[in-house]
Amino acid sequence: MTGSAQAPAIELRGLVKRFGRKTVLDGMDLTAMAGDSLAVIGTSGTGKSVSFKCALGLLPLDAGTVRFAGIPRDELPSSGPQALMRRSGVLFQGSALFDSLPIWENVAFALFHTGSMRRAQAYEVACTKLAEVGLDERAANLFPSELSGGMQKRAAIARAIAADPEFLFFDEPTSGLDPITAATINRLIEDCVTRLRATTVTITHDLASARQIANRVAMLHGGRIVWEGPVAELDRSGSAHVEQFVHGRADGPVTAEPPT
Amino acid sequence: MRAWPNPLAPIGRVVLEFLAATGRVALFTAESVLAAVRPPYFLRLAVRQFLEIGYYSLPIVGLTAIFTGMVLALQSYTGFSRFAAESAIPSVLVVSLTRELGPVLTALMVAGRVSASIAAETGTMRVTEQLDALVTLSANPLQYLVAPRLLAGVLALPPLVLIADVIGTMGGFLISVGKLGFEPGIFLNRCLESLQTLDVVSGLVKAAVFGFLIVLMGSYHGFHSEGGARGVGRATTNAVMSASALILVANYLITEAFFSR
Repeated sequence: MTGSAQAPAIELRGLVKRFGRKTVLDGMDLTAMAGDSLAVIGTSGTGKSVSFKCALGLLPLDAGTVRFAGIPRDELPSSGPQALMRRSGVLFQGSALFDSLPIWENVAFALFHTGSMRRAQAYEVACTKLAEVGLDERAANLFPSELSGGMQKRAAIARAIAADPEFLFFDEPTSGLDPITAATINRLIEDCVTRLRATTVTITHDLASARQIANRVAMLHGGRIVWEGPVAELDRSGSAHVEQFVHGRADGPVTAEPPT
Repeated sequence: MRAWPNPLAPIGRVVLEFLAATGRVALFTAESVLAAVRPPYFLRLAVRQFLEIGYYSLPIVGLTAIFTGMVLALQSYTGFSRFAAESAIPSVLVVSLTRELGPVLTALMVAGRVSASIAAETGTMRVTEQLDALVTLSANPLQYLVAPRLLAGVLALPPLVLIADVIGTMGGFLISVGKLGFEPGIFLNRCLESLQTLDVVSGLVKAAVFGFLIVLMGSYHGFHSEGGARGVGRATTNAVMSASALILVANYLITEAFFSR
């Protein structure tokens, strides 16, 4: 499934998602080329996380197609969705670590619970991955509730990269963190993305995070992508939406509560 | 002109919602059973859940059983002494306990403890995206969370009911011998003479079915919880209520199947 340098790795076409009468995604199109690190920005409630869950198949779509390395997700053979998950690493907004398992078991979950790795070997791999994100063996044996928010994020990143995935998805990686911890997490993600050469989609409303992690940025508003371009062009996008977002102005085409 | 509301509309809505909920539960049950028979099998989790459901329920089940047996002996004596039929107390006690009170009261106590716990844990996993995380880690949440619990529930309830039967009979024995003047040997002999294999077997079959229902309802409501802490609380309440109601309905159906002539 490894794509060439300029092949689309992740393609979302015409995504429509409704919750009752509310249309959250209204024909959203987005493409991440192989090796891209794409940040999707937008105000709270615009459907950034919904689009990410629809792309992964965690939420059913009302319309639209999702392709990974050119293959429609729904046309993958029966073992395809699981195989796809094995090639993907996901960081959830609230870390979503399993409370009942120690950190190392969280990190190695896919390796020995659903993979074929033996427990002892999975422990070694988990400790290696935890070391990569700056957590030592003592943390490996703690439970999620015994870690700080920043450490939980690190552990969740270790879990996302545990199987050396081709596709990485980060949902609001820095939400709820202080600026210094957020910057550390951003650097960590940047290192992981560079090392793994994975195609990465990051959902964020944190511009500092987008600038540090991504090489391309797309802005979601009203259920559609209203601007997409290289991160360097964020400050001269020519888009009123992006300009308002970048300067944090209350007045403009983007309202705090998006239209329903 | 203002239209009058249709008085049948609310009834229709309730019926439709009931049918839809029944369909959802049936689908969830079928998917869970399929998940339980397909590999991978999480046996370590099943053992852990067996201890959680069976072993840790022993204190509350034992307490319920002993006092039920004691009260049953006292009440039977009050009623039977009016007809000079006190000698029937051991038979009534042991048959009532093994056929009905043991399985039903055990199941209701376990439903309160286990259904609530499963619904709260699974519901919290739902609202904190842990269920989504399972999917992204190539795990089927039904296989990982529901299947081991279903297996544990079906296997843990029968021994729990057997223990409740014995403890309940001992409760009746204590009152009958200590307070009502029965000879210990005669009391126990009458108990054993009255007891038939079918009494015990029907109780154990009920226990296994109740174990399945307790886990199923806890899991179903936990999986479908939404709306944060309030949603988890609602799921917990619904799990206990629906498990209790289904236990009573299933008890009637199994009794009918075993003992109707």
